[in-house]
Amino acid sequence: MEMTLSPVSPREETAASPAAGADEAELIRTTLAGDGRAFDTLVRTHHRRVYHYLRQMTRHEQDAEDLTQQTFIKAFHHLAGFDRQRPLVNWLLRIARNTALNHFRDTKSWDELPAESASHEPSPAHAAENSEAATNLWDRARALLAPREFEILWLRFAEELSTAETARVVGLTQTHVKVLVFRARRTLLKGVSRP
Amino acid sequence: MKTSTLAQPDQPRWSCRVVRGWRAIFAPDDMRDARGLGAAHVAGCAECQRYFQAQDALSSALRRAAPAQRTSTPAGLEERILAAVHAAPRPLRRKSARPALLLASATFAAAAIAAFVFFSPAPETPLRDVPPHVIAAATPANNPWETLPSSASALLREDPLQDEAKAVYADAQSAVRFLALNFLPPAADATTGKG
Repeated sequence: MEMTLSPVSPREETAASPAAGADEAELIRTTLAGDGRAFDTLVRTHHRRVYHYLRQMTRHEQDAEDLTQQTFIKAFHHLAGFDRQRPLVNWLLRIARNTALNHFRDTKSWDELPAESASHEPSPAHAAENSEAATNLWDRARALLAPREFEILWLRFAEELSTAETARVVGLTQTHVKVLVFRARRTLLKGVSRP
Repeated sequence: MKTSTLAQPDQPRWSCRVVRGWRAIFAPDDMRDARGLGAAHVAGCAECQRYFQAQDALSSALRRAAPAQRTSTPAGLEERILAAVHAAPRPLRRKSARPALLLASATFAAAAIAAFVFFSPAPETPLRDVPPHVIAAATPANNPWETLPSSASALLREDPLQDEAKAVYADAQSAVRFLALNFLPPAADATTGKG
């Protein structure tokens, strides 16, 4: 059974959450002071974005769930080192990315994920979902683009991060991110214009 | 008739490619602020106008299609994350360096400074740029002892260690003489034959 959410943008979802804006810094301060319930609010606010990012990248539901848990445990451990001037979700996405790459230790990037991790689960629910989503632009993007290009495109247009934020999450320069976005959109445009 | 190999019908003109690449790398995230980045070319180029309209449309379509990719999360994911976080140790606070470590560091630094001071060669005073008469005026004499009074000079010329040895030897002689005079039997008078 899955929980269905309203299709709002990630930024709208975060802005409407109780951990928005200045409250987030206060929740972090309270967590560091020893109040674990404050971190619960941060988890409730951001776990969907982290999970969906990991699911898009790993293409495996169980891996994404395990990695989401690990991401928040790591964030909880290292919260004192977080720069509170920056958005927490960007830091969480960066931890999620590093956690996933470490999980697939033999591969240095999404480009070489193990085949079993890069496959959809063949459950009836997912088969129905996949058939419905076959026309979704993101499925076309996944089919046409290199994993790194797909990741950059997801962060920029699905997570709605800026170029600078995307660059920080993936550890690239802003110019590199722009080049990848340029190539990805060019490839995708050519792909979707063909039948 | 010979045709140019550079002219390919599906390839944009060189100037169009330059403008598109230029904008992709140097334009800000919001393309509406891309004034001056080939704007004159785009204003007069129908192909580039179509290209950038298609780019904008693709970006919008990606944003619109993203919610369909993240409409659901596994049931109980939030609770499982919270349980995992609660089971984890408390966040680490930034600790100041341990006193023992500070003491060891300070000791090492002091030893390094002492070694540098005692074992580094004495710096030479650069006198090449100083006129000879200035050096001569600043130097009282080649032999510093000549500036001292004669009596003091005489005292300093003597070897103090040798004087000390002489004094000890004289004291020892006096002691032997005193012991011999008071505790030894009187020597036999060679002239009288008494012993």
